[in-house]
Amino acid sequence: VVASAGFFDYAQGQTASSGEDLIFLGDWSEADWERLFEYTQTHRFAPGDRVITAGATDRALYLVASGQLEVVAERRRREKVATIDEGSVVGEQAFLDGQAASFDVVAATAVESLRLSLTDFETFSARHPDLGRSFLRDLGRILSLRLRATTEQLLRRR
Amino acid sequence: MQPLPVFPNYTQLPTRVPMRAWYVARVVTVTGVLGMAVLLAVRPEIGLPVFWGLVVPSLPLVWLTAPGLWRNICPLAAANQTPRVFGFSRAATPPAWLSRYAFVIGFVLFVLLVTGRKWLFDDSGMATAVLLLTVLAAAAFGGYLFKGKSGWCSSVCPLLPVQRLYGQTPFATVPNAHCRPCVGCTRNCYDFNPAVAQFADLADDDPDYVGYRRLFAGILPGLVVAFFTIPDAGPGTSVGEVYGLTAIHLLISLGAYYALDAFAPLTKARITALFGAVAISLFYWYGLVRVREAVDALTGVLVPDVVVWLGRGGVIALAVVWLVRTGRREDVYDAQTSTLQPARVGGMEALKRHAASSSDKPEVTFDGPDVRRVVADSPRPLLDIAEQIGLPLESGCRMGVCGADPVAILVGAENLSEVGTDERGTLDRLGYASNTRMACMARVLGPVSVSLEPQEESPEDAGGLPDSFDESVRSVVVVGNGIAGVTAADHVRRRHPDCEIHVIGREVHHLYNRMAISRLIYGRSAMRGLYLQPEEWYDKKRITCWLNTRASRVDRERRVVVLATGEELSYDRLILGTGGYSWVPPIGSFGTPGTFVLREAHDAASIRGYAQEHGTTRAVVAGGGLLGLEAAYALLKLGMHVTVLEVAARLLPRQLDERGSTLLREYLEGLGLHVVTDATATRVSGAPRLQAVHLADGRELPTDLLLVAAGVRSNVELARDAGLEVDRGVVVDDEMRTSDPAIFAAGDVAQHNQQVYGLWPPAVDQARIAGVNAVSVDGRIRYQGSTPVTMLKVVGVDLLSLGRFDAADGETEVVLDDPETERYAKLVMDAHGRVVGGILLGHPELAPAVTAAVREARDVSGEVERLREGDWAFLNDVTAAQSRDMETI
Repeated sequence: VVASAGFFDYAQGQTASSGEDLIFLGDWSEADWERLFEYTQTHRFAPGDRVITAGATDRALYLVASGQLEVVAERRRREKVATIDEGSVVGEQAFLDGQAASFDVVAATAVESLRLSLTDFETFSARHPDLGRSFLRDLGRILSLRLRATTEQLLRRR
Repeated sequence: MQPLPVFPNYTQLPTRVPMRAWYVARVVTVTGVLGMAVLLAVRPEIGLPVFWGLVVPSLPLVWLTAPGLWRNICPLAAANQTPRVFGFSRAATPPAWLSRYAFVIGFVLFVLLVTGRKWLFDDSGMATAVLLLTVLAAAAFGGYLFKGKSGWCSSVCPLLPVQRLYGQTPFATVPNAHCRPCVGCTRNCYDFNPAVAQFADLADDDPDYVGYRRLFAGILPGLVVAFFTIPDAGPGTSVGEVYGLTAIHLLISLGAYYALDAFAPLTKARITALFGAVAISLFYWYGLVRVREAVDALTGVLVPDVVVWLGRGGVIALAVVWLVRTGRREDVYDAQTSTLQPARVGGMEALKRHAASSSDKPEVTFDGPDVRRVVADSPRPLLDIAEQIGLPLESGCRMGVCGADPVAILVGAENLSEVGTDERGTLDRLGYASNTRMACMARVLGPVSVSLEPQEESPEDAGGLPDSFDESVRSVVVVGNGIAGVTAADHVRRRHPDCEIHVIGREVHHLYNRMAISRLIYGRSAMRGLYLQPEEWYDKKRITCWLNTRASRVDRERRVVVLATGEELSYDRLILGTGGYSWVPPIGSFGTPGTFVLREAHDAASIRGYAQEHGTTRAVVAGGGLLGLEAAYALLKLGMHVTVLEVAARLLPRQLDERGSTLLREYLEGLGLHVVTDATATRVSGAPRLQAVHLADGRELPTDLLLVAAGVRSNVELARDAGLEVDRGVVVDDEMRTSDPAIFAAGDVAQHNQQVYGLWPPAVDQARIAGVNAVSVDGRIRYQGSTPVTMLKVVGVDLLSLGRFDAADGETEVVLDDPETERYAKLVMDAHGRVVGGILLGHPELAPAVTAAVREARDVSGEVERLREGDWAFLNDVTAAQSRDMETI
């Protein structure tokens, strides 16, 4: 699915939802991140290991510290839908809505990623309410940008 | 300055050329067109080669390399924008049909124009002059009618399809200098964001919209070849033949396009770009010859062949470079627009550094369908790690006593903390293979590989028979199927190989994890995973288990337990493990639907059921003790708004001092719990269901559900009716014997040395002693009392409270208080410098050491300064050794 919205955001005169805006918590300091990392768990995956299983619920956010992941769909045949590079945030929808993952996510190379479960996030934000709030707000912003793109796509289809 | 995006729109691009210069350039080009028209009309022999032979052939190259330049100086655009600049444009929005078919109109005009050259324009200066003036006027008229560039440049302009095909990967980017401001007149505007317009067009959801553009790219190479290879109309070739042959060329070209589309694994954008590249290469392949002819006609200079060949080669090279760059651009476009595209971590440096810092930390591998390899960044228990990564491992007491979390250690058992006394007892009861550990007690010190499925005990692992036992005991009856009853029965069997053992349980369940029943409130898996032993455990131990059965009476003279079903069980030894019940303080109208206690699995299930049936949203928990807080957290997780009432001035008054309690309260409130201290519930109101809880101070809290967690009282009725000595609990001696030597008691029902503990670890300890002593002649053991150790099982709270937590006069306390991290630790030493108690909040790493130090009442009088400085690690070293000693006692 491709959404070109944002490249032609005439009214605002700027790209609104092209990739450059999807930076998660760009305004956090090193210290803020360090605080978050106290609540994450470092996972290591070998090539081929499954990180997220389609159909399974996993209320957690993954931050890919190194390596590359593949999003794999089981359609007529098993096909690669997308590649996820290091520095990506994965799983934010399941993290928020608790629904089952739509795709398998598999390690393409050796991968090291940090996992933040919803429960650990609750703990984190109980300890650091300010950071918890900004975390959620930014996650909301990113999802809103995606929804905006989807909405525009729907509107353009009419 | 912010870095530019890969696909910047024109408002984001820096402008280097002043607007005035563009105006001048436009005046020049418009004048040029007018002059050209005059020249074509008056001197066609000069005008035609200049226009068709030099000007027109140069345009595609400009569109390929610096399309923005052309967009800014195009005389047609200048004409089109004139009404707007001078403010007389009607600036209407184009009708829908025009927006929809503008591209098609432009594309058809372009084909007509090109084919028209074959029989009209190339040979007629006048016709070409008229064409130029007509087009100029049409562009201006379009500008008069419609807003922005929607009247010509971005809609029906016949040159636009070609410009869009080549404009996506400019070698030189020149920002739009017309639209001030942008009025958003066209979809995927080429002037707004040139580099992305073509990709966006081809990725459009409207298949027709995409189809027009693909059709154009598909025919273009055919059109070029047709134009240059079909003879001009004239003697021997009719106009009809020109069109017929051209149509065949277009069809072949289009066929090739769609054949490629069907067979080659290329994206629409790549095939389209490939046809664009082929078309422009063909255009100059043939066209440069025509240019040479024009130069010759105008100047008489014959350009040498080599120049033509260089030109052809140059254009092909340029087209190849353009093609490759376009492919790369498309990847970027795909990445940027895919809705699957992930967000990026803002703190990549911090992330990298964090990952690097854990490179030397030990790795824990959890075996299973999906192997999980995680880094243990501190010596945490396996249970914590498993929970954090979401593995389905149960938890209970988290003190190695309950047996909820057995795991098999596949590799690296030596890299885990040692097995302590409590854990050893539990492992013996469970009877799994020797590689089993309780996950809550096994702290990770080095690499280890774990399976969540404990393995069956092999015959060699099973212990031998004890030396001696009381052979006169033929039947042992245990009343109570909780941890005390089951542990006692287990130890009876370990000593006595063949006596009858009956365990009578009032509840419908086998031994289950009572400490985890709050999970029944918020979790969806009901009792699954809560059972602490495999179902066949009783059979394996040859124990007869009576579930859902009440013991109604004990006839001590006949040594018979009478069941409420009328059956009788005779005993030589009777062990009472009847446990306790939730005490409810006097609260008026308690019992109204919506009021609950939480003691048994049934209670938890009822709460979940009630909450669903009545859609409850508000809950009050009366009691800010351990159970109350755990229950409150469970209700919170069920999605309720939860208020905790505490009679005392602070939470956990029996486990925490002022400071610890404050820190805990702040955290719990951060999770979303509401805490009211100095609050006593006196009555409830509401009919037919609970509506409010009333406090002693007159306050009224509206609520749908009340859970009272005010403490536990012993179930002493059976013992009292049998005439045993009963105080708050059934009074026992050091051998756990009641006032009747044939009857023992253990667990929540037993009162030893004035104490009723109401906790699992003492219950297990007492039950072991009761079981051993019940069937032993010699080798009887004595109970020394327990140091109460409590943990709060609310996520994110690493709370351990043990022994005394406030120093009396002449005693010492050491406090570590870090307000930044909200971690708190306290150690209390008696007048002799022996550790008698402590609190750990957020210091799980110190838990084993402090627990052992308190249990051993370790003398640390020489180390107080060291402790004050925060160095508590040394407690670990010695206690590890001592705990091994303890085990061998």
